Amino acid sequence: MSTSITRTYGQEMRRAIKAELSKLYSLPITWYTLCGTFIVNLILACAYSNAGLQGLASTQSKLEIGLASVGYSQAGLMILGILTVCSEYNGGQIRTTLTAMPLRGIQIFSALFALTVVLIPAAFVVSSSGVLLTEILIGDAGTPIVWGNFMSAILGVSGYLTLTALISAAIGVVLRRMLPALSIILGYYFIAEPLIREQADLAKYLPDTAGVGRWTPRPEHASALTPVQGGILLSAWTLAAIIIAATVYRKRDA
Amino acid sequence: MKNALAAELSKLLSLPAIWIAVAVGILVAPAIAVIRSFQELFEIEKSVQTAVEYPIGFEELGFGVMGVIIVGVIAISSEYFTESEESGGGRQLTTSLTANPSRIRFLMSKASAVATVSAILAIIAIALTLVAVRIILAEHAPELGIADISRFIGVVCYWVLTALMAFGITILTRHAALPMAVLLLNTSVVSVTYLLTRVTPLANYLPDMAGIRMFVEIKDAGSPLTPIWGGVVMAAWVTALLSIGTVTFCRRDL
Amino acid sequence: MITIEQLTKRRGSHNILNGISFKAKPGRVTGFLGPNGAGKSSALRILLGLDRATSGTALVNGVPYVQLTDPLTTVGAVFDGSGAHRLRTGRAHLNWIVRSAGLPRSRVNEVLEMVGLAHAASKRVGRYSLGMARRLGLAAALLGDPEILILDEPTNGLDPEGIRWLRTFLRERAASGRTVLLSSHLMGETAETVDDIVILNKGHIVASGTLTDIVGSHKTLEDAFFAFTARRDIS
Repeated sequence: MSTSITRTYGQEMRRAIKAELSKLYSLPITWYTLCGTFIVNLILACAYSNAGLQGLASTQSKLEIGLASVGYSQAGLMILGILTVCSEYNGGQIRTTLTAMPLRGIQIFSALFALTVVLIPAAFVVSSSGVLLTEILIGDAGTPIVWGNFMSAILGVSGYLTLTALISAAIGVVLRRMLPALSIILGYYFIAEPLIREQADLAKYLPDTAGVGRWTPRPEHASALTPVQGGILLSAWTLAAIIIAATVYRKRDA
Repeated sequence: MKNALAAELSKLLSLPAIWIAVAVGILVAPAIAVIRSFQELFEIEKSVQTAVEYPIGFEELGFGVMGVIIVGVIAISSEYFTESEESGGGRQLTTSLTANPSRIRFLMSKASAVATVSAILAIIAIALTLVAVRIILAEHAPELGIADISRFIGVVCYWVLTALMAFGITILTRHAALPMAVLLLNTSVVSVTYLLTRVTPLANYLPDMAGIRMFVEIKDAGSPLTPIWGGVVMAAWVTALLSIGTVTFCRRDL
Repeated sequence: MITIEQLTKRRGSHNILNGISFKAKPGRVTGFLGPNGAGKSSALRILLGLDRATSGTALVNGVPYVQLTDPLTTVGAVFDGSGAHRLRTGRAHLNWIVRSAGLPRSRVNEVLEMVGLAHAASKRVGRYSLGMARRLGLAAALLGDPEILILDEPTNGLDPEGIRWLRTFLRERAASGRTVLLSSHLMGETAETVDDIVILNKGHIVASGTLTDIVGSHKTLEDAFFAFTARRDIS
């Protein structure tokens, strides 16, 4: 009989992660989104560098100019998170997934883990490529980039991008449908949040602002969070989002 | 044609996602206006300023187009992809084109349905936004004159044209994700197209930058377009997109 | 062995299943019959842990599906449609399932050959015909060479050749001592395939037994089916 418990959770998880990585790899959407994000980021970095060369940017720091485009290209990774999670609901794949991996907690955790494995290098490439392009385009005109600052900024930005995309994925898990998830995430990050940020003091604890503090410390706001505090807060938001998503996912009818 | 329009309207209004679109369309602009009105009121009471220094209400209506972007996108994408579990190759498009074999007429009635819904949403959003601003700011609310009527017409035109632009792009892409992402992202507080005006003045002729002049003055982008010409430029873009979309749609296999 | 006991499913105020009980035994093909909306798919979804029962149990070899150690080598399930993302290729779909169960990669080509889909393995699922999509679903279910097969309306979309192939295939599975449970609303096809029958109507079991028991004095299974489902309507 195959009903005796012989496999460990660890083994179960390793298999699930392999399966989820294989799903991500074989989904054309993953590659389209990654390439799209990368290209759009370079185009925007080019635009910002041009603005910087003409003295139109508010800063002369090549590092800041190079990272500015991330403000928009982060949408690409958010979309990646939402699309891959919601792809389960295309063609009834969710039924296959849950019959193959009926332990839903393990399955959803593995799916998000596999997504993270893709997100981290992608975030790193997106954030550093913008800075490198700016360095090439602006050359000697701007403030030189200090290696230590560059590394800490890239690490911070990559972490922010990864965690934000994971929050988007968690919302995708809860909503199951791409359209509402996309509207909520893009509406929140690009319209609601920037407006609230200016208005309310509590806004600094919101996921985006907490994260933004990770690479642009704002000394003018005495109460602003330090990058480390922001990072911890954003991680907490992400963890909360994932826990809520997993709970909903485990309880409901597929 | 009348029957076809009625059919398309009822199809559009029976999509589950339409309710997100309606909610976003009629609530986003008033909600932002409420937040900003309180902020302005606060400043006035603290005597930081004596009156509202910008035409409150109009800029906010620019963000509300998110709702009609969703309307335009789902009108087409729902014909191609159902996110429901049962796949079976079930595309509604086949049924639609059997019922209404003229593809041009099919697209025209669909576009009319999108335009109608968008115009109605725009009018509701304008009313709600104005009422909200008036209630909160009371005597500090900016005076409305005859000149503002043309701006309201501008808002309605902008919403309808934006919805049709979303519609046109989705005819080409078929899938909702790309047009949704690009257009929603570009309604952000600092839009990508606005940033592009910093690189080249030609960006002023991009559809949204041109169209928004129908009701908002953009002083710092160098303003080569009057409200009327802004509308004309945007309408030209939309016409071009719809024409390309129609030709493509008529030529391709389902 | 599949054991369903006092299974109830309520969605809102709507009773989808009203305490149904039946068994599907090894070595036999059990037909789960009923009109559209009778609750067949709901029962199968609960059996596979996709939906939650309001009360009652649905067990596979004595345990809930979710607790099976090796779900794919114990149970193979075929649902409506392909169960695959439209943009993935058939082979890629089977590949990830194989990984999730730690099965050998060679199984992918074996099942593709078995269901006659080897020529279309590199095509995207969205380009498949209805029949090909069903074959892919079946291929996925067969990856683990399971002792139990559960099929929801398996003949939907299959061509006559496919239907005959499936019938022979299922008979062979049962003959080798495995369990087959299939839902259907096609009486003629079912009568030629099954040993045991369970008839469901509006969430109640209105008849169950062997094929000969159920048909009884009726001329065909179809007549018996209408007699049983109509009786329920009157009562």
